[in-house]
Amino acid sequence: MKKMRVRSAHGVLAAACIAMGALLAPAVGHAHDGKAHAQWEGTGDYQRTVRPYAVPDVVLTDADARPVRLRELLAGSDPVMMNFVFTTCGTICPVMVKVFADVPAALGAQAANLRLISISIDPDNDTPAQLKTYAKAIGAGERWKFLTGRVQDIKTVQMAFDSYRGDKMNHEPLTLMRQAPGKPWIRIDGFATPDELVREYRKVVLQ
Amino acid sequence: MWLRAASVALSVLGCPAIVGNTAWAQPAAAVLSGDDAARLLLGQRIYREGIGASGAPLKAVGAAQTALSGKDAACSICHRRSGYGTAEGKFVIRPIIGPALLAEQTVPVHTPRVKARVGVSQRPAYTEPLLARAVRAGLDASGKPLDPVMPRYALNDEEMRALSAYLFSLSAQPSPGVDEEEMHFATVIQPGVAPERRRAMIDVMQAFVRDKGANVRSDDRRREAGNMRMYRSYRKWVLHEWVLSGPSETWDAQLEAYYRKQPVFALVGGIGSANWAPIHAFCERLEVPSVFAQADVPVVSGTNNYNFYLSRGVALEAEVLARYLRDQPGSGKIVQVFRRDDAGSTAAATLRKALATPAAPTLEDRTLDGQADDAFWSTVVAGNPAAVVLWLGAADLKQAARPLARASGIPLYLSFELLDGKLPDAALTAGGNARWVYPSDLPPRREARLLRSKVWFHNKGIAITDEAVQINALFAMTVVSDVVGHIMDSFSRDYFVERLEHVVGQTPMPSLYPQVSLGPGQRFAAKGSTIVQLPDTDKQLPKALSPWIVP
Repeated sequence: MKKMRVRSAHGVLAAACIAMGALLAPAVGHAHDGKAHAQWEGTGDYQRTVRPYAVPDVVLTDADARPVRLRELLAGSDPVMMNFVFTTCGTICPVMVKVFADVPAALGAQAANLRLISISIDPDNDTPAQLKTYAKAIGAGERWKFLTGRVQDIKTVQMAFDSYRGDKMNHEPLTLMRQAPGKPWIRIDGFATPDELVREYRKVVLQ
Repeated sequence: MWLRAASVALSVLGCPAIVGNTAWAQPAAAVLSGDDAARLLLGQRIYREGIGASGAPLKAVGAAQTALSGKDAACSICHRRSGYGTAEGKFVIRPIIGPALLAEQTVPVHTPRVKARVGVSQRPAYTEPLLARAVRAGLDASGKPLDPVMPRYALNDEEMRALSAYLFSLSAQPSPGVDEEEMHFATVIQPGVAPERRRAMIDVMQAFVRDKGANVRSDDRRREAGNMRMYRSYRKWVLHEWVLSGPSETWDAQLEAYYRKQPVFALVGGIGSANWAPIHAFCERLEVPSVFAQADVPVVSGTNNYNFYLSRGVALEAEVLARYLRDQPGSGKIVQVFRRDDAGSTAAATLRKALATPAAPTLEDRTLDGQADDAFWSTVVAGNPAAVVLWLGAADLKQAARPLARASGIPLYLSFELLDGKLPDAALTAGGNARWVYPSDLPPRREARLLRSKVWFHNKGIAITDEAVQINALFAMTVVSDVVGHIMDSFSRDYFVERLEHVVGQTPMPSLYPQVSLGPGQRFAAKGSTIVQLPDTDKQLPKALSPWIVP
């Protein structure tokens, strides 16, 4: 059993290299050609739980250096998917980011009102300008917001979503999704492929 | 071209041309033919940059038929520059250093956790044909498929030979500066550093080395008795002072002469207010890590694989100040005063660039040459500027205090770096106009945070004469010690660098900076600063005027 999990983690790492392609050389990225998600090997190696997280009242900063009150951002009626990344991470963040990049294509028309949020867990290094460059390199669209902020606030957010692991280099793959304010958060631990995320997302939206 | 080849061969083989006199240098390197050097150069380019023999990006196929090319396909992306691989969370990328590939894998693995990670597979040693099969067809030395994450590379024979030669030599020898008994470090002193400042740094560092030696004084005997890696890693630390003199164009030759006399594994600490670029370039060229020099003017752009800095120095101060000044209400010109030395020019140029936006206030330069008289300071404050930025050291500020005190109400912004972290002359702060670009935290929090270092100084009988220098010197030594503890007997400088990226944020010993962290490729530990109001009497505390600013 244990071996299975390790193998599948490697399976997803396959995507890490693809992600790096998208990040480091946008010309060879395939994020939006519509069939990119078909490149992922499904693993089923993730855990889904339902959690009643409360959104902390913090003011973060977006890639345009504008203040963003997290509660207000999440108060809209749109469904949301959220993850935690940092821009110099070379192992798991490229995978998570690449998955987010492929989700809209995998969702098709249903992607129209989905909001993607990536929160940096390396706020000291990930300045708004750094996030902007990163978002541009992976071809993030308008509905995908990258946030940074004060170190303490970023920690508060991670604590609120039970994703704080002491140091950014210890972080684990995690996706959070929620249909609307007042609904519970669905927590996906591990690497889910875009198709798997979409499957979970549809359950969330239809629940 | 051959020059480049030669320099790469130097780096690949641990600078044999320079080393020569250490027991661990490769004798074969001395007779390396031009062909061999060119082959290693190509292998290194494939490994580090993903560039093939033709100069074009390599083509590879990743999992699920994904096309990869160039840098994305470079081995070093996953296996890292050292070849020691990496691990984060559940991910483990195996080491592919020469000794690992060339070793038969027969060691029985009993622990389930380790078994799960390395797999139960046993394999013979890799040979050149087996390595070619692994790289091209994805089969390991025993014929079993490699993990699908490992891409398949379409290398031609020339490229494959080059990559094999490179991989079989990768981290095969310990980096220079380490022998079976000792591990050598050096700290660089630029000209113009006050003797007491230099002493403050060196005393802390030597005390640390003495302490370390005392703690392991019997462990060399244990090393002989056991075969555990932990025992094998014990080395006596030796710290050398590399004191530079004369013009900066001559420093490279001086550094090389020091290095030739005794290669060092890494530079630690170091101090100076002139441009650090020659030392930076030396470290890049010889692939020597440099850990936390107390440099006012570090190299803030361009290639940086080996030079770790505490912060971007005066450049960071100028950017933080620009951010603060841009947000201040009202308008009016700002005057900056600086000397035409490296630190002054760099600070002034950075502030000018950072304020070169349409909405920003106008900036006027006043350069200070020789002694400034009252007439000079009158021109600085003429026309009642909205602010005066003084990129000056303590001596100049002492001269400026009296004439500037008369121009009351004009905020004066001072540099922490150029004041060597010490409060300016009381006459300058007496008017209540002095503000500081301040990289640390304020009392009482600061005192609480730095207590650990101060207790250490106390225990070692070291008087606190230059707090900033001493705190940062101890921090640098502690970080290096932590990293050396992690690498054990894998004495690879690249591996050292990769571990250091992880360790810095976790080191319990404080630096002057309230927040330090690094990550892959990050080279500046502290990234922000704040603006504080200096009190006009010493009975009061400085007051923060801005939040923490990360420009």
